[in-house]
Order: sequence, then C-alpha cells, then structure tokens
Amino acid sequence: MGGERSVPLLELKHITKVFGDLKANDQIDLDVQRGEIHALLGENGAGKTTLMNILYGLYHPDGGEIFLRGELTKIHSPRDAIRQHIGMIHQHFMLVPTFSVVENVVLGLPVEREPLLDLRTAARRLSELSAQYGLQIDPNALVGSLPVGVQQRVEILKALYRGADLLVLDEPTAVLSPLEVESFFQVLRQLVQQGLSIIFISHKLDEVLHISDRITVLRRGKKVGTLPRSEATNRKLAEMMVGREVFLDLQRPPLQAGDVVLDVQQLSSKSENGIQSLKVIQFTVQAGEVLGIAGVDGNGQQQLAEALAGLHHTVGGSICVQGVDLTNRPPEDFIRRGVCYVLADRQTTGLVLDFNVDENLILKRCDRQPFARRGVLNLGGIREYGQKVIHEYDIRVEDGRTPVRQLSGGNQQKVILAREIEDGPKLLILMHPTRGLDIGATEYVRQRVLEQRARGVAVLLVSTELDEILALSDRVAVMFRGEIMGIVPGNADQLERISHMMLGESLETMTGINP
Amino acid sequence: MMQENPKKSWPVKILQWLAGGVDALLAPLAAVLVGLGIGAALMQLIGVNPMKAYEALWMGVAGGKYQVGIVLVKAIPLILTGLGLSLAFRCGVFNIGGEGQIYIGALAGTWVGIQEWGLPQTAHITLALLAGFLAGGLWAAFAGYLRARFQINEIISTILLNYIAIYLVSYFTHGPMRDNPNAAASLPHTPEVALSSRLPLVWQGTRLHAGIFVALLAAAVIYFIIFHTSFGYKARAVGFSAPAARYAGMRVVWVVVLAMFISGGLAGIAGTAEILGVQRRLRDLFSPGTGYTAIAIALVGGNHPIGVILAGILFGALEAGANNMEALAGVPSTIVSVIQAVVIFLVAVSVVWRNRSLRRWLASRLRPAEEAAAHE
Repeated sequence: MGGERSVPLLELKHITKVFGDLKANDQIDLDVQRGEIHALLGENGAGKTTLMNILYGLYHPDGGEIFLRGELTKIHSPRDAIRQHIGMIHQHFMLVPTFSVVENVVLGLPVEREPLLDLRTAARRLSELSAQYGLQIDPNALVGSLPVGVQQRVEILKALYRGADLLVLDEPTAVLSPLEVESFFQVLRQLVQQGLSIIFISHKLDEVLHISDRITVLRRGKKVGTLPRSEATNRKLAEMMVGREVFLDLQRPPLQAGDVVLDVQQLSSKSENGIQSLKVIQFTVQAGEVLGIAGVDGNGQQQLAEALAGLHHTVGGSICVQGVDLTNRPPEDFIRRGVCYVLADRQTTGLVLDFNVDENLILKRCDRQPFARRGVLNLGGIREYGQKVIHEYDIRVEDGRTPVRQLSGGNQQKVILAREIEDGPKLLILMHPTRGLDIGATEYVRQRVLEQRARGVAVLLVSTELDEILALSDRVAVMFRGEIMGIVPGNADQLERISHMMLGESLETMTGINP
Repeated sequence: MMQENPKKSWPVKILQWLAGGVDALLAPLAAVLVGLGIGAALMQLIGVNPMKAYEALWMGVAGGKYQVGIVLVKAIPLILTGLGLSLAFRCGVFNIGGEGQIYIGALAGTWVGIQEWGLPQTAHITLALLAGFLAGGLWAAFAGYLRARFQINEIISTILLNYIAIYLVSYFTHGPMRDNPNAAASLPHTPEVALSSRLPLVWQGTRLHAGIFVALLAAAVIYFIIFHTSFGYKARAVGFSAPAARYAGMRVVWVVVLAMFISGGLAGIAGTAEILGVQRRLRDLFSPGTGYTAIAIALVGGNHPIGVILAGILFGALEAGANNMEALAGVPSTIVSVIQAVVIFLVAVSVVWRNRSLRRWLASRLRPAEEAAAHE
C-alpha cells in the first residue's frame, strides 16, 4: 500500500464468466498490491469462488484480461498458476493424512535426486521456510495427527515451498476454532510483512474487517466496490453485500416454556474406534424453548445430535421424547414421534442431490397422504405441494423440477428447513444451520427458528457461532470432549463463562467468575 | 439455469424430445459402426471377406419377416433381464448376477413346465413364470440382503452366486432332471416341457412367441414401479444416497432386498420364457451370457424401461446377425464372438462416456472402500 502508485502484483480487468444463462462474473476488476491482504467479500453465489478459480486456472474466462506483475498473462491450469507463483488453499484441505508434513509438501514435485526420494533436503528447506515465515512445524509429524489449524499451516507451507508470492485463501477460517483463528491471523500478518500478497475469500464481516487492508465486495457476479479498511464498517459492508438494510439484531420474545419435550439422562456412547464420544450427558428441553449447544467443533456435538435422531448408537443412558423412551430406536421411530433434524451435512445426507426440489420435500413422507396412497405416488399432489412450499419459504428456483444439486447453499438449506418444519416437529434439532450461508439466508433461518420456538416447539441448536447461540438460545449448554461442562442462561453477559467452559473448565469449579 | 424461457409450445417440445432421442442414439450407433470396422479388420487378417460377412449379418437382421422375428426372440430375455437390472442399478446395487438368476429361474420354471398336471395352458404358463420369478428373485434378494445388512460387496457376491447357479443347473441336467438317463444317447438336458406350458407363437411365419408380451408388460410394470410408487421413489433415494435415505427414516435394508428380489425375479422370468418359448428343454450351459449382456443393455438404456427395450432390440439384432454371419459366411464362431464383444464393449463405453451421472455412479459402485464409508 503506502500510497505510491507502484505496479500492482495482480490486476484483473473486466473478467467475465458465463455458465449457461448465469453470469457468474460480470466485468469484474480487481487489483492486489504487494504486501496486501485483500478481502473478497460476498454472499454465496456472488462469484467469489468462480473468480478465484479463473485466477487459479480451473476455469477459463469468457472475457477480460489478467495482468501479473504488470504483464498480460493467461493461466491455463493450476500447474500453470503455480508456475506463475500463485498458490491456492482450498476450504477442504488437499492433504494425505497418512503422509508426514514433508511428504505432503513435496507431493507431485520433482526432488533433487530423482528417482530417489530425497526427503532430508526437502525437510531442511522446509525448516528454513518455516523459520523465515514464523510457521512453526515439525516436518516429520504425521499430517493426520495434527490439529486442523496446523494442517492449514501445512497447506500454506506447501504453497510457499512451490514459490508462491500470491496466496488465495478460500474461506480459511470456516474450519478453525476461535483460538485458532487468532493465531492464523497472526500468521497472515507475518506473511505479508515478508512481502507476500493474500486474497482472503470470506463472508464473515468481522474477520474481514479485522484482517484486511482493502475489501472488495461482489454481489450477483458484479463488483459493488472496493474499500480500504478505514472506510469500512460492519453495516456498510453488509449493505453492499445484500443490497439492502440488514437487521443484524434479532428480537427474541420472552420465554414461554411448556412441558418437557426432550429428556436426556446419563447418555453415553462410543465412536467406532472405541473412544468415548459422549460422557454421561444430561439435560432437558421444554416446549417453546431453545437450548443452544456451544463448543468447538468435534467435541461430541455431532454424536449427540445423531443420537437424538436415531442415527448414533448409545451404550448407556436414555433418550425420552414426550415421555416415550426412544433410546437406540431406529430413525423412523424418532421421526414418528416428531423429532426433526436439520443436519450439518446437507449435501450427502440432508438432501438427495440428484432428486429435484419436489422429491426432496417429501423425502420423509413419501408413504403418507396426500403424497402417496397404498404405495402409489400422487405426482400431481407432490407438485402442488412443492409449488406451495417453494413460494412460502421463498426458495429461489425456476420450479420444483430443478435438481437440488443446482441450488445455492442457502436455497438447499431452505429446502431442508421447509421439509423439517412442514413435518410439524415437536423437537427440532438444528446442527450448524447457518454454516456456509450468506447473510440473507442466515437471517431467514434464524427467523424461522424463532418462529418455531414461538409455536411451542422444543429446539436444540448446535452451533459453533457464539453470536448465533446467544441470539437464539434461552439456555446454553457447552460441550467439551463429549461432556457438558455446564448450562447457563443465554445472555451476552455469560460470554466469559461460556468461553471458559469451551476450553474445558466445568461450571461448578468456576467460582472466580460471576456473571 | 436461473431463468429459462418459462413456456415452450408443444411442437417445440416434441421436436426437442425427438432431437434428444436421436442424439441419445447417435453415440451407440457410431460405436456399433466403429466396432464393425474393427471386426472387418480382424476378418481381413484371418482371410475372411468382411463384406460378405456383413452382408450375412444384415440379412440376419433385416432379411425378411422371419429374421425380424428372430431378432425379437433374441431380444426377449435381454429386455426382461435388462429391466430387472435397471431397477437394481437405480437402487444403487450393482447386480452382476443376472446370469445366475436366469439359470435359477429357468431351473424352477422348467421344473414346473415339465410336470403333466393337466392344467389349462394359461394357468400352466403363469405358474411356470411365477416359479421362475420367485426362484430368480430369492436368489438375488439373498445377495441384496448381504449387501444391505452386512455391507458385503454385491459385485462379488452376485458373481459367485452365478457360478453356484450355473453348476446347480449342470447338476440337475446331468442328474435328477436328466432326460432318459438310462438311454445310450442321453444328453445333459431335461425332458421337453409339457405342451400346456409352452409359450404360443404370436406372429405367423416367425418364431416370435408370447414372451414378447411378457417383456412389454414387465417394462410397463417397471416403469410404474420406478416413477409412480413410493417404493420406486425410495429405491431411487437409496440409490442416490443411502445415508440420506436412512436419515429420512427409510428402511434401507428392506428397500434393497425388495429391489433385488424384483430384479432377480425378472431375470428368472427371462430364463423361464427362453425355455418355454424357444428351447423347450433346460440344457446344461443353455444361456449365451444373456445376464452379462443385459448389464450393458441397462446402462445403454439409461436404466429407463423404454431405453432398455430399444437397447434390447439393438443387442438382439446384433446376436441374430452374428449367428447368420457364422452360418452363411463361414466366419468362425470365436471370431463372431470377438466382434460381438467388441461392439457391445464400445456401445457401453460410448454411452457411459456421454453420461456424466452414470460415470459418477459407476465409479462409486466400483470403489468398495468408499462405498463402505458411505454406509458407515
């Protein structure tokens, strides 16, 4: 930055990419200076990933030019991009878990003493690199045994080892815990101090404001504008992203709790490798109440949610729904008792991607009236129902015959939510219901959750987003290594206690902190 | 994707549909031509005149009414088995066991067929076909159960069951069901089926038998099952994503077992109809690999009943023509088999290659580790 008008490291001019009738990128301009963190902000489907895939040679633009270090260039493939010193780190890491760090780093590269694999020289070079950029790592550690945050570091080193001076990071914080995010940001700052440039793709306003030098906002394939951080605010960016005033604060009407709907007693389970995944879990949820389950990802939330839907076998304790013991019953019994589960994995489990919208909407009720009678489908009824639901839930599709594979993440989530809510739940379990969704869809989902609460549905909300948990929950339980560390009221003033519990302190021993 | 023109007029729709149909047929037909080209080179190599051979092939397919009848006769078991396989494929089960299911079905159907119970013809035929259906169905359902309940790869289990079925028929035709076991010139086959169980001929001057109606009826039934019943819906859901089906409360094991039962049942009918309508008696090794060709037919037909009928006729024509090539042009039968195999292979590849979802599906089917992971 610095004010002087040097030649930018990267300049994209009028980049256009068309898929069928959809202009994924429409005349987009972007420039990245040396030593800059440039955020690319936008809702899902705004064209961020398409633009970066063009830069990385995965797509070829239908129009526009790419200038690297002042020179016009063409990028034909990822291999080509690497040769031109561009590195990309995908949201889902491309690492071999059973290989060591150094083996992963040299994967696919020629080494000095071909055809012998000279890992020692590579390890030495890797150590030099990690010292230079302050990325501490053991080159011989097995990647699969490393925490996610460190694996990400391996991905960055992989790119640096290949000589990248422009790093593209696609939603890098989605997989990190809050603590890891902070140390990750420190790494980014060290990298730009060494002269690297970074493009940071995100839809999280706070992070973008926190880390970037400049921010470019995309909306519906077009560039809305570029702002230096000093001129950006949360609200302004949100407006640019969605094109309208967004209400970031939700109104939660006072609690009107009814009877106990879900009663979990001493629940324990083991995962496949024999490790105890749930340890003596105990809680209840009442009708009209939202119980939030907070915690860093991977502390047993998944197993808990699955156990409550009949998808995870438990070894001890009990699950009662409206007084009926459903412990270790099959999923259909849970469904019959009004347990609806919006799960985190939309793509392979929550939806049948090759089915169209109509078909997905009746996934749980394909046997029942009015969709089927004596085993024969009522196709007209299914279509009518699809039309009604698509309209009511504002699912943006041409019609119900569109395969859900073609829908954006937000619209896919709306399909799931519509299906579960229309099933008339007594207990609604939601797992990361807004993960990967844009602001508009997030707001929509949260409103719908509160609507169900107002209708007297018992809601169990599992999320790693603390603001989401606090905005929606009447009570918050925190999970750590398969245990519930404590349950506190869902108020912002509980934040400190929740954070401590997330790190493994139990509420009972926490005498020092008072709300 | 976002906004297609919302309303198209009927003529445009029909034209598009026809264009789509022609487009879908183009690749397999091109593959047939390429395959025949390779065959011509092969024949040239061993000193057979390919022009003469292909003239014989063409005459065998379209030389006259009788030949057309033969094509359809050959197509009957291919269509029936292909229909069955297409249902299993849609349910995500790669049933390679059509051949064994044909043998087991034929065994049961023949046993009913050779009984002289004095039943009226319709009753006897129905009973025999039903026996074939049950036997083939149970044979396949067993593999389906192993797959759904214990994650035992169906590709392997159905292939192994093929061997068992073929050897069982061998045993019965050599032993308990052998015709005239004490005669000097006894062959390994059963006695002829009763007159009352024979499928009547339905087209004068040809050998086309009533099995063609059974095949067409089966196509209609399978179409209805796949697209108009909640069971068919569940089978497709399980095929696309078993975890999603389980999560939605479907009884995946039951769906897979039933789909395999129907699938094998149709192969069983195919075997029975072949005996009752053409061969009259069950012989050791009586099927020329129909169950394997039917895999290609289901894939080429896009697992759609109409596609399966068309593909069945195409492959039936190929078989009839090939036989004629051997009989009239003196091409050695092994070379005929090689040419046939090359053509079938190319047709299957051309269709799979064009169809991305089919490719994706096949890839997932053929990677057992990933499959196991998908089922947890």
